[in-house]
Amino acid sequence: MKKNVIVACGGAVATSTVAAEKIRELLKREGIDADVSQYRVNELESKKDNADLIVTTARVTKDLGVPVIHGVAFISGIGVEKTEQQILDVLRK
Amino acid sequence: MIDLKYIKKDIQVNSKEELLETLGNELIQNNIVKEGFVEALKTREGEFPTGLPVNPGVAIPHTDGKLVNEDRLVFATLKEPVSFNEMGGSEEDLVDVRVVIMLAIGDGQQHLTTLQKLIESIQKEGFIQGLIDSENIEQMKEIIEQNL
Repeated sequence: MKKNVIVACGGAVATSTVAAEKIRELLKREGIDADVSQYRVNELESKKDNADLIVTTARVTKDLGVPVIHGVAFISGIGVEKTEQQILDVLRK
Repeated sequence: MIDLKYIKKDIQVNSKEELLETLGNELIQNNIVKEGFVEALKTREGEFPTGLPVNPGVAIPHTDGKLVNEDRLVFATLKEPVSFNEMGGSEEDLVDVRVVIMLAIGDGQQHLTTLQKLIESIQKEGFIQGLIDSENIEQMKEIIEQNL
């Protein structure tokens, strides 16, 4: 079944765009069929319902009932493999 | 967008607030940005911190473009690191920042493109360390132009 991934950042859409591109590449490479959409963190509450996974570059403290992965590695370039693995683990469950 | 005037080497500040004030106030004085830019930067940094846990640490403070008259990128290396919160991290995730790249960009799409390009550059080997190791601002400018 097609997965639904949300990538969210704080203000502008800049950092989430960078992370979303990397995630799309990863999912393509791994053959995972998924929609990757982008929102601001303050929109998550209303957008989370169909999501299988949320990756954020801004802090989310609230429990959204959806797995949340911290995606700063896509911005810093450090620890990317680990974050990619976390994403794959959630989506392959 | 890159101007020797806004490339700073080894500046000395005691906190990220002082850093944002020092860099932001100069932009206000030169009419590059409007009054209120520093407060907007501080507010945004509080809500959505921009410290990147790379080594050496980098921060990319930015805010939305409403207060910007002319686009500029401000580059600064710090003599002593100051502490920024980590992008997306929790309260206690701090980054010792040695290099600051502040964005003052009016147009949203341009802001996005520049930020994306910057993020790619920050991940390039030698860019950030090269800025720190530069002997003068002319050399910093060269490194910026090579990597951006």
